Amino acid sequence: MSDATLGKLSRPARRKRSQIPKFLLYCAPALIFFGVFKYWPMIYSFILSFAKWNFVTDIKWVGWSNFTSMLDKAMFAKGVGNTFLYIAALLPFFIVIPLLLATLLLEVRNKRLQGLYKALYFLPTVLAFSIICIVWIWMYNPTYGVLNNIIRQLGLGEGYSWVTDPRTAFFAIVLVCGWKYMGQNMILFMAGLLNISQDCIEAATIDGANAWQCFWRIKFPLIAPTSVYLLMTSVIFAAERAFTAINLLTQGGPSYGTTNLSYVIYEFGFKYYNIGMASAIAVFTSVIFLAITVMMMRSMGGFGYDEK
Amino acid sequence: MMKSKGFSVGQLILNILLIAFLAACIFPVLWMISSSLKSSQELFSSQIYLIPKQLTLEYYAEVFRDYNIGDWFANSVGTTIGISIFQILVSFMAAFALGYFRTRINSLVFYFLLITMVIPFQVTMIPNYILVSNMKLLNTWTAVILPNIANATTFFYLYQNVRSLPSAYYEVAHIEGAGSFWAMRNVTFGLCKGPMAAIAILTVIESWNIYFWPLLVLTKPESRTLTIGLKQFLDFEMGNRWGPFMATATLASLPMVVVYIFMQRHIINAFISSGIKG
Repeated sequence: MSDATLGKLSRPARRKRSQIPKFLLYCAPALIFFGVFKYWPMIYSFILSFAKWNFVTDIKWVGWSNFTSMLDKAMFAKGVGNTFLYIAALLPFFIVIPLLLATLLLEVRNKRLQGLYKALYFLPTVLAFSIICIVWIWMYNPTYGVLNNIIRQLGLGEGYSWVTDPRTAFFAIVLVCGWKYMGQNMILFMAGLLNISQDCIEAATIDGANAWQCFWRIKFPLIAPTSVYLLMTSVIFAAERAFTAINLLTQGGPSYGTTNLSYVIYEFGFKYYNIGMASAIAVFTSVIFLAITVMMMRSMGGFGYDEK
Repeated sequence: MMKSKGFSVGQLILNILLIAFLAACIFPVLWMISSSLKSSQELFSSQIYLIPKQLTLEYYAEVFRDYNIGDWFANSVGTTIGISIFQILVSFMAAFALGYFRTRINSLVFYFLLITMVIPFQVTMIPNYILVSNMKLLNTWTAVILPNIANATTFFYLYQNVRSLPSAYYEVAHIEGAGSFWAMRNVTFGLCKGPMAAIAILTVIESWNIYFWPLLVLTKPESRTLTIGLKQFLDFEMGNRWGPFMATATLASLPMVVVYIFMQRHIINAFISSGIKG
């Protein structure tokens, strides 16, 4: 309260001269770096999406043809479909399991044990995703991999060649990505759950609510902001971070079964050197993701910026 | 609510469940370390031993003898330091300005910076590659560092901490006749040191682990960082060299794991406090 009044009282005084030049001075480094390495590339992608170019020859301008021919490419269609499949398949790992784990962890009464669990579940977050991916390739190895060894010793058959078999490749990628980011989301849910005022829960308990009702009627609605935030990061993840796993584990195969939009951009750009096509798909991807984000931000009521 | 202190069946089941799931969760990490310490015979056996029967450091010796892991390490350290320092500095100045000044364009600048969070890296990858190669920077640390200075997540984390300072502090500084730079250094930086250190650690971990951008711009063997040097062990024609890979992977993970063990509470708290304050 006092903050707000102070702010209001002194505003006219501080506003005597325009503060904009000074403000921009402090923001200049950020504006320049974000401008050059984030916004310029987006604009440049947009320009290149009308070109036919392979990094080497002269640029030829071809109008909208990249956009029209991209629609007939099987790889593009698969990439779009899989991007959404990844989102759907990763949700249990990013939202459901972490929320369940967080709820269970908070029930542990021994605080030291609870701290230990928390630290260990968070551990994968600290490790490089690329390293983790290659460790998983080793575990997925059809001949020597530990997964197949376990399957064989349990007498469940000969196992799979996880990353090349069309039946398991998509699942193999989802498992690696889900595994890496589960602990991180669990911590965020724990924080959200701890922020809920104990009074609310006590009041409900006095009114005779059981644990199940307590969770769905009180805790779940109150941690909605956390869920929306994590939902948004999962969507971005499905495009961006899954890329590392796709690149290392399957290279998008078998028959585009595990590719996604960002991997399609990479393949057109750095494998076929079809920069125009890659840029057109990049533009398409940006538009889709901005639209999804704006929708989510709306439902969340802004995104953290408030004029205090 | 009264809870009995002693033994309870519910707690026992809960702990068993959590430990079982935890075992599955950290198994890949343990398996990496365990594989690096095995002899080649045991590494490729069908028996499953988490603790090797015969501990050996032969793969570590091989890595140090046959690969320039020293160079990789130096490159990782150099790029990590560069990215972290500039990323924090640039983001902090903007975060401070947004908290200190009240102009009509505040929210414009905020969203301008924030919205880049949702642009996948692959969208900016090709133009940035062209830009960096036109600047004749390929195979240098600068090539890795420059594009990574712009990081919306770090900016957002810092902003979340800076904006929680009551504006009364700034008013007092202003009345005392202090300028904005003084306020940034003594008020904002002074009061946010703790959370900033924690955010810096997150940035260091993230920079240490970046993989794909360095892979594009560092093509010479001697300019490789640890994460991309590791890719050398994957060779589809000659077969993957798993032993040396596991040894190097363990070594590459070690610094961040050590940092994590000592700073665990701070890292998790920074992560929580900066994540969402809606």
